[in-house]
Amino acid sequence: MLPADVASLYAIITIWLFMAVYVFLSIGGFRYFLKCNASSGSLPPKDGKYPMVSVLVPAHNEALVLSRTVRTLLKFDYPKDRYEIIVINDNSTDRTKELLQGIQREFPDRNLIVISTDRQVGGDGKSNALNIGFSVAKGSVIAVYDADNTPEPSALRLLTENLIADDNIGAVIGKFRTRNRNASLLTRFVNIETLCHQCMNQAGRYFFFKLCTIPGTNYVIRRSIIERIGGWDVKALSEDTEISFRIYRMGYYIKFLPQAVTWEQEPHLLSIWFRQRTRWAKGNLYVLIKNFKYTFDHTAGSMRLDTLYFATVYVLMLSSLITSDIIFLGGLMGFIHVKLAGFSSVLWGLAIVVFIVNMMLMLALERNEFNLQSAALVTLMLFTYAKLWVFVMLKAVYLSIVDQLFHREVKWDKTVRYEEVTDDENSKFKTDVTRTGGKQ
Amino acid sequence: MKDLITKTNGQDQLSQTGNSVGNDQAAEILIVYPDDLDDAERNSLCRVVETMTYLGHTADYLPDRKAVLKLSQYSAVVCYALKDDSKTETALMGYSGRVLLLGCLPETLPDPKRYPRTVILSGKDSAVAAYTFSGGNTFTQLLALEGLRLPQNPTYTAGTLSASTGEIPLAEGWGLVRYLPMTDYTTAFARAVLEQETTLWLWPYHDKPHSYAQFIVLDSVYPFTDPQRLLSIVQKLVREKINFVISVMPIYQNADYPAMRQFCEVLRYAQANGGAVIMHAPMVQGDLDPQVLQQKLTDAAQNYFKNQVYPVALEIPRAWMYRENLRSTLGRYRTLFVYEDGTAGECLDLKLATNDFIRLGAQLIPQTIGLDTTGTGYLDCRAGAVYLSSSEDPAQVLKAVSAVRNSTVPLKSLWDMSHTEYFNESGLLTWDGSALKVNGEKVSLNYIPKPYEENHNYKRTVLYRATANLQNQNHVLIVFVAVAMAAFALCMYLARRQMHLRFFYSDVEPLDDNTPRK
Repeated sequence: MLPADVASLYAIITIWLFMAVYVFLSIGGFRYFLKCNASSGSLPPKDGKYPMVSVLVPAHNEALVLSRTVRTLLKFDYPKDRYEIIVINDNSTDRTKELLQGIQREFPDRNLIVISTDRQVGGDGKSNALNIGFSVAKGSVIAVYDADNTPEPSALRLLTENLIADDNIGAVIGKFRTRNRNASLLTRFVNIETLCHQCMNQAGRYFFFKLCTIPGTNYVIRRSIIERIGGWDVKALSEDTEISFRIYRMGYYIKFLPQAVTWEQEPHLLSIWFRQRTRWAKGNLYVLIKNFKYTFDHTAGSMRLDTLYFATVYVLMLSSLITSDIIFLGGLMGFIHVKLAGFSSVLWGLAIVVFIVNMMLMLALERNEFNLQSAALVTLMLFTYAKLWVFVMLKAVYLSIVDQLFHREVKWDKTVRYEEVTDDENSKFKTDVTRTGGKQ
Repeated sequence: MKDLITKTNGQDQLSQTGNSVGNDQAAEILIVYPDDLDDAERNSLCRVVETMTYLGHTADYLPDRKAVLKLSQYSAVVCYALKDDSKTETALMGYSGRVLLLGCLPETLPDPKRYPRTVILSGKDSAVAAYTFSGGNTFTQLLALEGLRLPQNPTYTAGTLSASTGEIPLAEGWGLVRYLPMTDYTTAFARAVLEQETTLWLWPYHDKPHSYAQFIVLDSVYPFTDPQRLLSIVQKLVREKINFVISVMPIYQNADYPAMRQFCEVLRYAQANGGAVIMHAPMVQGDLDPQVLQQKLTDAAQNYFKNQVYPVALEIPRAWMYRENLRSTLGRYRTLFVYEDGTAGECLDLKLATNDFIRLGAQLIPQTIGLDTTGTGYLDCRAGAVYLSSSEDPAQVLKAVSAVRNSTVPLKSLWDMSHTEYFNESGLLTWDGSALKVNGEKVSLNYIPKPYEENHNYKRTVLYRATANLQNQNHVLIVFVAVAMAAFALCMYLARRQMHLRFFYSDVEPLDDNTPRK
């Protein structure tokens, strides 16, 4: 058997195994979404008392989007005296501080707290900013929103109601949607990706295993948990994944509540998207390496399944995709000849069909997403956008190795925001906005 | 001009000193063809060249315009389908060597001593040709001829041509000049007549030319052939004391598998009882790389050697004779069988202009010209191989063997000839008529039965097993996809149904108009 045959066999088996896993998760996610869509998700407290909630909003040079975010947060249908908004203006050099002060003056009777940090205490990334905000938070429930979010008014109420309804729940996460999905082809891809990811990976895992991962925004968590774990890990670039694992280890589970929706701005330029995803991948690798030992720890509970899942995605999936792409390109150029019995393009064709139909199923659960245009986009993204993931991962692995070898400090690469013209839902973007830089 | 009779590779060969096209060594015969050769003529020209090759003569082939100045360099000239205004034919007046006119005979040639006057009997016509081959076997064929010309006062005639204008000889001759009226030599009949007449034309003596034998070849025998079936044919041939050859397909790997061992068991039995084994050429699709071919042949030979089976010759497709880049590989074999591969004249390289394949010095055993359905050879002017398919019903095979045996062309054993084969860079197999040696060491051809392994270890790893089952896995995957598709279709229906029922549900982003929607 030739090396190319061995490699092909490996790629075929791995990719089809993942395909089977994704079909399985999709069915679970679908059933969970169907169930959720049939209800409002509201679980009002029996005694009618809502807990105090501190909404943390870390912001570093977010002048372009923050005003809109804070105004939206002020419109939550949660009792106004039972939540406070803490914006951590983290070493911003733009007009963030002035904007926030203006809003404070505009809503003097609301609990809007602004913490402005300087280079001494701030500017060290999102985890550090959250820890600063948490230090002044009064709520027994902590909510986190990114600075570019515009949650629906019911989001905070639904999340909090579900959190306090079950003592075994450590955190409740909501769904996020792409606010600027029609801004570019890239944002259309991201929109499909996020919808499918949440249905399959979040809802699917939650439905079958009571597992899901905090997405970094639009979630609530018990204050007691944050206190017990000593705050957010400032070394983690994916503080959300990191904290998810810590919640599992404490014996809690995380609930996914798709009725609690927030809308967020996604990168509409490839370069920005690539940096953002590389940061996420790097962060996830860090968390995976830190927590992989728990895969073999009987006391770690269902989290073991998640560490194993992450490990297989980052090792098996990545390697099999690279292998299959190399074989495909090598075959096209005539360098690689696979002589494997039964190996045929029919196999790849079937995999592509399953992938497309699977994605369309996820989109069928959303309004205005299930159409021929989406089907065309899914097909296109399979051969373009999906392939970028491999490069993102390779760069993340490379950077992680370099950081380890040279003991480099972990840098937070802030996602660049764009000013939106809010004349309709499908926002148009001004493209002449300059990148403001910084770590967050 | 000096004619020499040389003995090369067991076949009589005429050679002549002088220069020939593109070769230091002179060719004996010059074949002249029309300047404007069409596809049909090219196919026939290919057969004419091939005839010279099979008969063991070196030949150059040139178009009319180039050949005219070179006639004197050759001891024999073949004019193929030349037009009436051919310069070469005019130049033949001053040429004193042997001349074979194929489908062309000028009406007037100004040398009445050497060339006949011609009477044109008709224009386009059809005629029934009849010719008697070895052992008095006469065969006929309907020929379409461009024009029937009757040369006057021939000193030699053979066969008959019955047309509406009467019966005339098929082949005629005047001293060193010979004439055949056909231009199409792609049919078995025409090829057979050409081979016979060429032999007689070139034979310098008054007695009959040498007779050559034929070989029975059981062709395309694979390891996955039913060994019992093969054994039954072999046993019958051995019982009847019939010489035979088995052409085995090359095997590159898994030579230790029980199927291969059983197969080789039959081959060893055949080898020990008068049968000889030869190797069929590897089946190669696309471009044939000589190095790859050499490696395949080496691997295959060694796999058979491991099982005490010794292929003593190589069987190649006809087209390989025209491949210059295969010369060095084929030159490793002293005995080459050539089978009809269905190719036409496109394999003839007109630029090469010579049949230099013959210069390899190999003993060529081409497929016999099948004048009837049995494939039996009726020509003894060259050695020939009668191919019998081992996959056919054994009774049919034996019937064909019987027909060959009853033919007047004698059967011969491959062991009666000497063989040499360089199976790799340093490996040498030789048979000198008494002993078979591999790398100088004598090997035994005696048959000693070997016990079979009850439980052969195929050394299949998990990976190998997975590969072997992959085709079955495909079915599993197809079922998986079908089930997933059905489930997805049902889910989509349910999702859309729920969406319709909740038509007024709103999930669009709240706008900055201070009146967020719920």
